[in-house]
Amino acid sequence: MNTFERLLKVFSAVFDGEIDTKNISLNSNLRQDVEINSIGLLYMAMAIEEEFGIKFNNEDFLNISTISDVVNIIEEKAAI
Amino acid sequence: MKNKLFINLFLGFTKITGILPAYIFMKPKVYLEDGAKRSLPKNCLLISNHKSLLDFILYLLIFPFSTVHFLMAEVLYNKGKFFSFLLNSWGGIKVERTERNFSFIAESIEILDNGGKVGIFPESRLPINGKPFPFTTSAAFIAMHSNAPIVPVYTDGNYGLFKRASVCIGKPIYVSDYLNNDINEQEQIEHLTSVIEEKVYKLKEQIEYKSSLHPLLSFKSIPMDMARLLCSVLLPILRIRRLTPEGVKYNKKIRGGAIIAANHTSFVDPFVVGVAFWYRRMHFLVAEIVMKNKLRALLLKGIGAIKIDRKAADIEAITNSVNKLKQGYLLTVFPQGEIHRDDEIDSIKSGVVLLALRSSTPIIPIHIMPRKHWYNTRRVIVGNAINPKDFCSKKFPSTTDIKNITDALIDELKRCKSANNDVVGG
Repeated sequence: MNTFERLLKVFSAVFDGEIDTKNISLNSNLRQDVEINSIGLLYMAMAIEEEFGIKFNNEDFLNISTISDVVNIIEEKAAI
Repeated sequence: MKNKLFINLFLGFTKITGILPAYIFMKPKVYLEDGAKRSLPKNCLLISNHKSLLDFILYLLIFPFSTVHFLMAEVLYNKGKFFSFLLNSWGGIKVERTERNFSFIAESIEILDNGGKVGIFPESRLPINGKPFPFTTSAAFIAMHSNAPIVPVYTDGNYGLFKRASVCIGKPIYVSDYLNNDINEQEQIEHLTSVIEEKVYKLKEQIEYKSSLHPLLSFKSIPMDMARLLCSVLLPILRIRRLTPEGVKYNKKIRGGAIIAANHTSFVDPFVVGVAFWYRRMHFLVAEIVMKNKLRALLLKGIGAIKIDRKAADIEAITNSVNKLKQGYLLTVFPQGEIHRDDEIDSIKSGVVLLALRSSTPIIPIHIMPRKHWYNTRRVIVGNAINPKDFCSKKFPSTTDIKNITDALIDELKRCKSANNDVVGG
């Protein structure tokens, strides 16, 4: 299972059917396409931290706009 | 049977003369598992991991009023007549590890049956390259045949003049709880051995957890403690009354990490919460706008403020708050996000639930009565704690779980509010 697939699994667990993961692609915009607000972003970040064993900081959120940004950050942090 | 009186006298003499140097060398910090006692029961089997030859001295030091007969290896007895005399006088039980001589088992059981205490290091050898040996089965055999409770103890072996040893005493294990009649005795002994080994090494986690809790005395906490001292004086002056929703005095002491979720009708609310719970060290989430002034930010940080950016996803503030909760602090949050002078509690921000879920701590809803005049009594109604674990036990709590907990918090806050309005005589 690659990072994107694991991420989708986290999404479906956290957003519990509110978000249809079938429509999410690497180019989906988090705020516009997936419709995640700032508190949703925090839920997501915490679940990702738990699943991938990484730690986010505030600067990471400034650079996140699409799903591929999230995947890149996870892979970058997991590699360290 | 050895002379009991002589052993007690000799051990007593050793402890009195050796307590100070042993304490200076080890400075043991003793942690207790929940449900454990600091002293040993009347007859018991003390079972510990083995880090150093000094472990024996450590247990003389931390159980000064108990005579524990330790199982000691034959190599120690072979170090000369004087050493052998010393070990015998300290109540040691000689174990011949290389020969099939099991007299030590009979001797241990006899001591236990007569109400004595026996100590065993079941690893039987010191670790090699830091790797401990697996537990041998003799400890479980003795426990099964004597029916004495087992007291598991873990030591980190950090002995030295400039070091400090940490020891954790576990709650007693009763052998009868682990006996299974469907398996034969050999299997039972092996099962019990693995249980004991697991319990002893679990205490290592207890040391890690308990030492991560905030210390009683710390330099960093001085400003916070000064503020608490001031709050304790202000409690009667500001006439703050803590009540339950039923209208009786709230006497419960909140222990461990917990989130205080309060309504927010005035800028004095943080002080009211600080005064109402002055007996605990407390952090509180403060909006970024309040922390803009550098001097004020410095002062507030000193007394425990954690800055949070309400508009962005401020994960650092959340992580910081979760760490403080895990260390056992209280955290005050105003989940309405800003001052609501009309005191309407219709919607709250669910970040507070996220904190509770992440730190596995309860949320304690409180309602502060807005007062009309400065001389009015200010009532603080403390509601029932909301435990997020009661709502969700999954690895990733879903948005539905968070909504359910948020709704429960709103309901409890509203109940506190109506109770506050109903109390007569305020």
